[in-house]
Amino acid sequence: MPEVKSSFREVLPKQGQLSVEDIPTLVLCKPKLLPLKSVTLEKLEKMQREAQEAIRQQEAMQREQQHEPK
Amino acid sequence: MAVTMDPLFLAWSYFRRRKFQQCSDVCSKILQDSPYDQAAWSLKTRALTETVYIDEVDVDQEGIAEIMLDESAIAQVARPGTSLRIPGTSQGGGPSPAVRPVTQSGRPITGFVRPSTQSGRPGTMEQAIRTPRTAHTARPVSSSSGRFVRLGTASMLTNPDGPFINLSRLNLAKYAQKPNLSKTLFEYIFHHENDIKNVSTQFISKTHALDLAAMATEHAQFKDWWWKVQLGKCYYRLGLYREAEKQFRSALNHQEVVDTYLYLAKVYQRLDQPITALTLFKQGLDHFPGEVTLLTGIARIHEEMNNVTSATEYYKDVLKQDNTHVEAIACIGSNHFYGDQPEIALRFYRSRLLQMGVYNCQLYNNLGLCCFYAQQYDMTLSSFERALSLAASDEETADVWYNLGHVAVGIGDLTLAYQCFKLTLANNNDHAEAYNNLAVLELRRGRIEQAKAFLQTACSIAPHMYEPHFNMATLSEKVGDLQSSYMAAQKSEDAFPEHVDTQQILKNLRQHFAVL
Amino acid sequence: MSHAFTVQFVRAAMLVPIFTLKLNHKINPRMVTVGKFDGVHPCLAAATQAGKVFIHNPHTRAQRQAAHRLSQSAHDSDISLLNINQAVSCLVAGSLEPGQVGDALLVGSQTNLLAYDVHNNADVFYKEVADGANAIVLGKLGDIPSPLAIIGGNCALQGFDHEGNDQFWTVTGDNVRSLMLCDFTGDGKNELLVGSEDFDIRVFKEDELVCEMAENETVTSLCHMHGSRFGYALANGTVGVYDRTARYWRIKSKNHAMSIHAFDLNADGVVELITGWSNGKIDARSDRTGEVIFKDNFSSSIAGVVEGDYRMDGQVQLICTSVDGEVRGYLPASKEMKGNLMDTSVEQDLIRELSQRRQNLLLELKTSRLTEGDAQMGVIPANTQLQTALCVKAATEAQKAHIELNISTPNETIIRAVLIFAEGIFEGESHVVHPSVQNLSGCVRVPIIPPKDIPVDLHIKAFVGGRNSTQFHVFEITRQLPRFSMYDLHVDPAAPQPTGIVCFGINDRPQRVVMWLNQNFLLPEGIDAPDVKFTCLRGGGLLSISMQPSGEITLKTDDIDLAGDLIQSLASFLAIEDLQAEADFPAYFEELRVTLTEVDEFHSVHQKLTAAMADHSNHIRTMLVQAEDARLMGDMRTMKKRYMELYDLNRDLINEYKIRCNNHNALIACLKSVNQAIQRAGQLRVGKPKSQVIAACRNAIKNNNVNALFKIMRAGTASS
Repeated sequence: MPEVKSSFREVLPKQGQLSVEDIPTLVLCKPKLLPLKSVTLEKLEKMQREAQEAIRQQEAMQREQQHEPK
Repeated sequence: MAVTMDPLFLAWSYFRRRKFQQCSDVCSKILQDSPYDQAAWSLKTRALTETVYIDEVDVDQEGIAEIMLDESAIAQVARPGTSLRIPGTSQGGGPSPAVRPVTQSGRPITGFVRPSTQSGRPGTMEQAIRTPRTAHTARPVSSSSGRFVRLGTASMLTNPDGPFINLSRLNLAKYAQKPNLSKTLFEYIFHHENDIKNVSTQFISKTHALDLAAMATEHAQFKDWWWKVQLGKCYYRLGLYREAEKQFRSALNHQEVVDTYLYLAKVYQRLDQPITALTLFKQGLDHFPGEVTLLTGIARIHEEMNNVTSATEYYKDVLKQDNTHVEAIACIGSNHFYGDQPEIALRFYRSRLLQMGVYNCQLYNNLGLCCFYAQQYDMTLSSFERALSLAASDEETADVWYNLGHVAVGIGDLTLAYQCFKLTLANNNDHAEAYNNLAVLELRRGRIEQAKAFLQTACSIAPHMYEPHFNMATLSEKVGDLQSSYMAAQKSEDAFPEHVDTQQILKNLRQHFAVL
Repeated sequence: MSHAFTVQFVRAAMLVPIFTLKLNHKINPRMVTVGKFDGVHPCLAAATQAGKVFIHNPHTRAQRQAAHRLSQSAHDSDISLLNINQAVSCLVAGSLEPGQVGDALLVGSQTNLLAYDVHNNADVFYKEVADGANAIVLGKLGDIPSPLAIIGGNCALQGFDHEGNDQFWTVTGDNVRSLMLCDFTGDGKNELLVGSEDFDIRVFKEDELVCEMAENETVTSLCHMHGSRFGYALANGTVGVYDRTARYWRIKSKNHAMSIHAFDLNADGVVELITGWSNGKIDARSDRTGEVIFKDNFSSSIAGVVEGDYRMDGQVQLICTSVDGEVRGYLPASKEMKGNLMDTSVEQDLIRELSQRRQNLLLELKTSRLTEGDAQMGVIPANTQLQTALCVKAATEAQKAHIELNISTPNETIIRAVLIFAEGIFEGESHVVHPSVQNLSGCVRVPIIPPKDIPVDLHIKAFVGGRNSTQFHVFEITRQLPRFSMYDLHVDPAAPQPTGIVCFGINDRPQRVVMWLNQNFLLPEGIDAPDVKFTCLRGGGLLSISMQPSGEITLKTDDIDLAGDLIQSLASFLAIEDLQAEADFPAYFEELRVTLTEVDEFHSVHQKLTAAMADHSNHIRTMLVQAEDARLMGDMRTMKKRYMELYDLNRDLINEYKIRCNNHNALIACLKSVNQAIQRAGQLRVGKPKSQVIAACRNAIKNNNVNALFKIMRAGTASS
């Protein structure tokens, strides 16, 4: 109704029981923001990866060379 | 008619264009013809050094050996708030572990990671060794072996025929007298320290660097600040922190250089004296007002001591000076996100970092999360898709799927969430958070045994997180297994002493046991 | 100067401690202090085993969070340990920076001085001290505006301000063992008192020596009482009190005095001297008489005696600690007790005096009764005098060179026995000669060999009587032995001339120099002109002194110490305040040059060894982690292999450490000689030129400029 009524008066019981039920719920782990890497760290990781790659290649080549003389 | 460039000039041009391998090759040719050409030798040395050059200021990796067996710090148990080892309770005003994930040490994860102290002191050697040895979290045995793994193989590859400079045959005294050659040689030895895969010769090269620096300093009559700083760096590597401190302070007396302040602050951090380091930084700021690296140093120390509000303040100062400082932006962004202000975090990540051209998996992942929690749903999924496509390793992929799982939970699609978490595990079998969340989902479906199995896995992988322990405690209590519940609750309390619900469970259990 | 020993009165009151603590840490003796590190609560800090310092803080227990669910004993949680990683040699807490809230803790070792802010876990400064730190004191010195941490090491003193700048440095005669600051001269500023291993207590006004008091053993402790009065302790169990240069009293015990402190324990307004002994006894002695007023017993040797308001109740307690970690606090006696104590001490004084007089009178009565009937009285002629003479005796085949003290009576009386009391000459400070009955005569000759060139008072008591007497008259006479007695006028013309020479000029007449010579040397007939030659009885070298009419004096001797002593003695005799000199001692300077090169070598070896050891220990750490790793994985074979490698590495490291120790000791010995050389160069001058020489020498050494050093030692100034 478009009448202007007086504002609602809230009723706040000052007495009486207020029960709280605490249902133990399981807790989720939080979403993870991924930390950004610093330039140094990236360079280190890149170098490490390249080095490992190169070593793998070298070992592969050496193994081929060993197999060839057969 | 071909006009050929002078070979040395050609080599120098390659060097300026950062084509170090070609530069080195041309120099080798020159040296074959005239072996005593100092210019070519010097240039080749510098080229080889640049290929493996890492800014020492950033590198600060502490191995297990240093952490467990180190007594350089004066106070064994310092007052909380004055030490880097005791995280101090959330006096810094940061969000509790109920809101922000923590690392193994009990510190919240940061927004930015450097090859530096991963924070956290494991209680015993056994704990230190047993932590999962995945590439991200593994700690090297000692700092030198860590460096070796990263650099040693690289430097060996620069010359498959053998080392360019044979350290054992060098007459260091002769080189020390020649300032134009000695500095180049020093940098080579210092950065190529793990020249040969032999531990005992590692030792030789370390002391070679030290000897050369000592002789050169003497030759310069103790007036050259550069050599003093190099001496300090050598001592730092050897673990002689007090000697390093003396050299750096002496260098500062001769010449105020920002780098020296940074190295000296590293020494104080190793001595576990964060307040001394802070005082030092402030002194540096007196001489170099507004210097970004010094401000960053202060911010990092505050972050390590868990003073999130101070850290944020200093990062903001950094941004005032340098708008493009990635670390500052990332840290402030992550602090806002966990402080329940995803919109502001979004501003930082999107407007600043993305516009700067940062283009990697982590940024898009973070963008996706911020968009979702800031209720900008249109951007969310596309960001995550980009993140997945940019992921460089399985661990990164796993993390992105994990966050997608959270988005799914948020929109109420539990089947999708379940699939996302399973995908997480497929990419990273040790993802403790995924196990925990899967357990929660399983319990909703009523599959208690499955939930328990997942929780147990999560507990064993990540004993520092409180969630799996708390969930295990709750579950066990429901099922009636009070003993396991009590033990799990205690572990949860260890990880997060202020958690109210854990306290509630413990109180209930204690009442039960008292009645018995 | 009284040389009587006071009788220790046993009837002292037992102290009752107001609190007792038993800490689980041993305490190193003489390294105990109390500091308010947070500016409010006094905490006990002490050095303990394994290069650690512990701080006991019983005040904030309630505020500390329970870090661990396991309950710790209350004492354990009160103690926090600091890693110093070196053997601690001295320790003090106090305010180094005016305006700073908390006290700083200063820890000295043989190589470094650390000033540490305990509350903030931050260094105030960390300095390398080449001369070591045996003792430390904190306070203001002279006109220097900021408070200094002053350390005494091997022949050197150094003072640092709160920024670590060394504002003060000087040399002293020997290794320093104890330090104290007080206003000795009454000019409103502090002087520094230094107790050394050469038995001297020296007083420095900044770097200028004001006076010296010679004792007869290493001075291990000094403590300020009030005004210019201070207590001292020696390594032979002597404890006493000086007022300026005069010694009031001293007592000697067979135990060592570990720590002394001034505290008013009987609330009478005057501090007593509290001594902690090596047998666990604590006693408090009156500063006037040395009489024991209080005492108590610990079960092990006392480590340190300090004071502080440990119970935070507004009253300062005297805190005593033992080496086993027992700590007791005592409050000053209450007012009622005070009255009683004073009465009893007055009564005791009176009783003692009266009984002494009674003893004496009884003895006299007894002897007079005895002698009435006996004809063998020790009657001697009325004008009997005791004569003494001193003369120099060169070495013979039968006897070493010595001074002969000739005691004789001019008539037929004989000397039955002679007691000579003198400090520093005889073992046990006294000497008795009693010839057998057959050899009685009127003349007794006693050989005396003074070990150092210092004037000595000989207190002689001789029993004189008839040949058959049984009672004797006691004659007392005091004779002073001149300072430079061990120098013989007889010179062997074939003896080689000394190469060392010192020249300086004075404004006095030659007669005055002659007076000085006559006073300080044993010259049987005296001399007229200041031109003499002597043979040194101790070393055998020659000493020649000559003076030009222009006032220039030339000393020729190879012994630089002797030259220094002569110049100091002459200058004080003639009341000269400032004296410059030129000198050359080629043999000694050559030795010094060699020593300096050795120092450089030792330094570089030290650096190499340090780096090698550091790397070695890193290696060991890595190996240990790998071994543990193998064990955790169950790979026992690898684990065993690693542990065996560890064992070998460990042995190697220990050997390296021993080598480094030897190198370090040799280096310290060299550095001490260098400091002594500076000291000797200083002794050749007086007043401002002396301080200038010392400062200039030190600068030359700091800048590694050996040639400048020798120029300064020769010419007295650095200007070329």
